[in-house]
Amino acid sequence: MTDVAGVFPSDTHRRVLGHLSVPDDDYGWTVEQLVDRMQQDRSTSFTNPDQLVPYLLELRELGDAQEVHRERGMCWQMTPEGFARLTGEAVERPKKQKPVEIVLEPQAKRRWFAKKER
Amino acid sequence: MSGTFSNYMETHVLDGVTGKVTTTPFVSPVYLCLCTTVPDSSKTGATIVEATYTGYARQSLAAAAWNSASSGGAGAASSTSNNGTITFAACTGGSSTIIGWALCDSATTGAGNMILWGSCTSTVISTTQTPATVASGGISITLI
Repeated sequence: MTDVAGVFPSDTHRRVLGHLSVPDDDYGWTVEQLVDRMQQDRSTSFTNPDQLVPYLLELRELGDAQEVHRERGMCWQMTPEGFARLTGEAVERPKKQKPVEIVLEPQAKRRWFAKKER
Repeated sequence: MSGTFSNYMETHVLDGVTGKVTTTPFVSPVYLCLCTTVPDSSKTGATIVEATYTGYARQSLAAAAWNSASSGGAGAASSTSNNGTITFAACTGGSSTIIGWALCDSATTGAGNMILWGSCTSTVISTTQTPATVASGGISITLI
């Protein structure tokens, strides 16, 4: 699926980057923690690190993500450049004005207590 | 990403049921925030990354905007949801791509406590993709 804003190679790249800690955070997520965090994201379908790592490496290649040493070990975090691209302007916008519905993901209905990121 | 209570809410609920805290964090209205990164439980209303398009403001959700919680019965979850369409203020400039959301206890962007958070499908809000709405029942909160 293409990135709706036309900024990243795909929607999955946007979402992987969007799950990383921001540059000002003093923590990051290990690959295993990211898989766990993203398994609950209905817009992606990662079930193991082998599926996720290629996206992280590509985001690093693009300058949007980086590996940093944190208390948890080697973790992934956004770069300032990646943060700016993620939160910046959309490239693609339709010309005709219309309302836009935000769809909260269905599985958000389920795990308020059952799941907590580690 | 499933919706998740923030650390703030978790600790207050736990201290509430044991009586260690008798003043509650339960406030009305609460405010729906649109985020361009996906929050995590450690975030606050000051540290979530919100939309920056011109006209963006947190959307107030008073008690009347929610259905009363219903019991799911034996073996099923109890839940609540919003009972009408939520419409944000129109975007009059710039754009933001929304991938996350949060409920906070302050109307002021960049302030307050985060109560809940989750993700949503990637959605661009711009001067041609406005106003942003969330359908009736779009926020469904369930306790298992």
